[in-house]
Amino acid sequence: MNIFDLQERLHNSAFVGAGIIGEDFRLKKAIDEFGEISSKNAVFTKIYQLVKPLNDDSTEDKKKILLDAITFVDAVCATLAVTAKPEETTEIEQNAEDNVVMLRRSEVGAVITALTTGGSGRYQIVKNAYESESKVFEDYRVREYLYNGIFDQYSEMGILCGEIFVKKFGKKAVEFLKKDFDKKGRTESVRKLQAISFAGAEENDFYKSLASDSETSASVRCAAVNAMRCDRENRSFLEALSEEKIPATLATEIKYTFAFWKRQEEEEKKKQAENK
Amino acid sequence: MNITEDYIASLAPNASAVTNGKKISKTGGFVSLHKSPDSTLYYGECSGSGKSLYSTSVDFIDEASPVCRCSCPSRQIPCKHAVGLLFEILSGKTFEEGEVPEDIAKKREKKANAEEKKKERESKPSKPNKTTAVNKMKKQLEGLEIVEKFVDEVITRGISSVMGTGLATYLELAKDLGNYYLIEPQNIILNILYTMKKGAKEPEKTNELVLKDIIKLHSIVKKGKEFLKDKIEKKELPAEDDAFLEMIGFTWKLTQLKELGLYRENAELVQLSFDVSYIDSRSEFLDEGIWIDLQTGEISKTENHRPTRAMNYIKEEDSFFDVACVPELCIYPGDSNRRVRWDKFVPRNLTKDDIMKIIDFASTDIQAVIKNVKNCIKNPLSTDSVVSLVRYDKFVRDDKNVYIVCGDTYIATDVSENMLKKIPSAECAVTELYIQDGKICANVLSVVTDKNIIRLKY
Repeated sequence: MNIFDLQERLHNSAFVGAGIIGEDFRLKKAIDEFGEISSKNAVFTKIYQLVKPLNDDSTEDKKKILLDAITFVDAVCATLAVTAKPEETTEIEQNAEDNVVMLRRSEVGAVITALTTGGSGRYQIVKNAYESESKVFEDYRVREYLYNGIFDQYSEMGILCGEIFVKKFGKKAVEFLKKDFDKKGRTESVRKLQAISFAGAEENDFYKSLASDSETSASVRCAAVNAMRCDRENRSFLEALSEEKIPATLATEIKYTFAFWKRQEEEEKKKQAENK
Repeated sequence: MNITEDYIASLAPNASAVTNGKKISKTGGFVSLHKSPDSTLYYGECSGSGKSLYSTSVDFIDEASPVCRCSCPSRQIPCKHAVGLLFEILSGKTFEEGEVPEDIAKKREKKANAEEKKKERESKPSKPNKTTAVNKMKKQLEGLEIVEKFVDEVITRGISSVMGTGLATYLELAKDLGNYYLIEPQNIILNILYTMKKGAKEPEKTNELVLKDIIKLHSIVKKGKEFLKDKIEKKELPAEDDAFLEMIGFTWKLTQLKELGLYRENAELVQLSFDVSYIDSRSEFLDEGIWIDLQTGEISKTENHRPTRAMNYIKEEDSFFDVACVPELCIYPGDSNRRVRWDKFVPRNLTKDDIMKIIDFASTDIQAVIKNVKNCIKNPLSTDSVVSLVRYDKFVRDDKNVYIVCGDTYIATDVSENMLKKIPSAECAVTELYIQDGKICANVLSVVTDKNIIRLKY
């Protein structure tokens, strides 16, 4: 028995009600056991004097005693709080330059809230900030939340965050997303790849390597094929890929890609005819 | 007058006024710009949605309390046009010299007279009505009896009894407490009801939170009854330097704080952190700033409560990166992180010397800081956390947490590893220390490098 056990029992009595404290045999036992160690120091003696009447059937106002006891025991427990003692730790390197961009809450608050909470309306807030070319995304905190936003439960939000992340921070962002990329992963890797796809044909080799790798998860392969829509030169590669033994979802994605290009070509022809 | 964007934002009622004001300035909304020969008045004409031009002015006759005026129909003060005019000054636009317009001269005179009268009033010691005060205390005592009944009932029947049929009854009771001037107990009961309502999925956590509030109420009742009975008997006024008074419904006026000597002249404050939270049980926003006094190193806080029903009429506070030079700083009673308030201030740029001063104020003795935190938190009527400025060596992580390391002491924090990697190493950290499950934990609000204060919140 220690003071924290006694604290737990006292709290439990308050949860279930002091009205039935006489029937609380666990509390009774805890008080008795605490009595055995109460002579250790003056504070424990005082606590025992305070809680002892709770075990006495003739005590009238047990609720007041219970409240006083909890107040006192909680205060003592607060003074006994300890700091953590982790066993194996790794140092976090802080090598960033001193000129970090920090904006006022009035400038970044709405976007950070939109990126870190749920609910409706937040997509529009982020989109408006992006379209108005606001400097919000230069703020170092927003950058961090923007990255986390790529994995937002709301997929459109995730794609928007990916687009902003890659378009605002260019190659650095792409390299960051490609670092430790888990080709066997699912949603998280797909979102990363969707974000990278905003870099367009520059990352074509990366898409190809993922699409053709049979060890890559089917969802990532599909996302890679989708990303390859940026360049119609990929047709022959995809045709060859469709000849191989591939998952049905990937075959469908390739078909959709061909259909997408066909429509694109038709639209271009239509535009050209209109221009003539 | 040193006008910075920060200063403009601090005057503006909300973020959109700053954005719109900036837009007006950028798009050439002002068709004429003038200033008085002594540069205390800037005025101009601005085009708006109406047919005629708006006459907008910013009067710096009292530098610490500029007056913004505009003939537009907006009820916001300052309106976007006045904010726009401030941006015109900031961007270094040319203001032609001109005489102070007659109407403004008259308004200046009227304001000067009002200020004089106010000073006269303040110089005379206030004579509060003892009978009224005693009657109020009697009413508060009656209210505390009601609170005591609530606590007794909940603790007898068990905390979970608050739910169900009890909820509506207790909500009525909480509303009634307003008639007994017991704002804080009223807020605590509302918080209990809200916690119970929201926390059905996590009963253990909810019970602990509610019990904490019940203990707080119990302490308020116990101490409050004793205090009020004594005062009523002696027919004394309760104005004392004691933070507890707020718990039984006493609200401080700046004049009262001054009368009690709770103020300092010519203070210089730097904001270390800022955040806005929404308090569901009260339906209000709370803007909270953490500030350090450059002369004493004391860390204090500013609180700005904005109930949702009055959102449009209460100015929203913001992050502030300059130094606030405050002619008269009023300090609320309390033990640590005392609340401060001021009416007027003048901004100045934060210098390297200021940063070095802040670093010098940081505590190198983490154990002493922790002891102080424990002493503060053990009082049920005190706050749940204490903000301190501490020197630290590094941040480390294990597989569960990120820790701030001060010598041999490791304190678990909520800060994200990725966020820390985006900032440079620093000299000291602004930490909000609290106790959770018997462990000392910290929210890292900001870090201070030798060049800058880097905020992890706002």
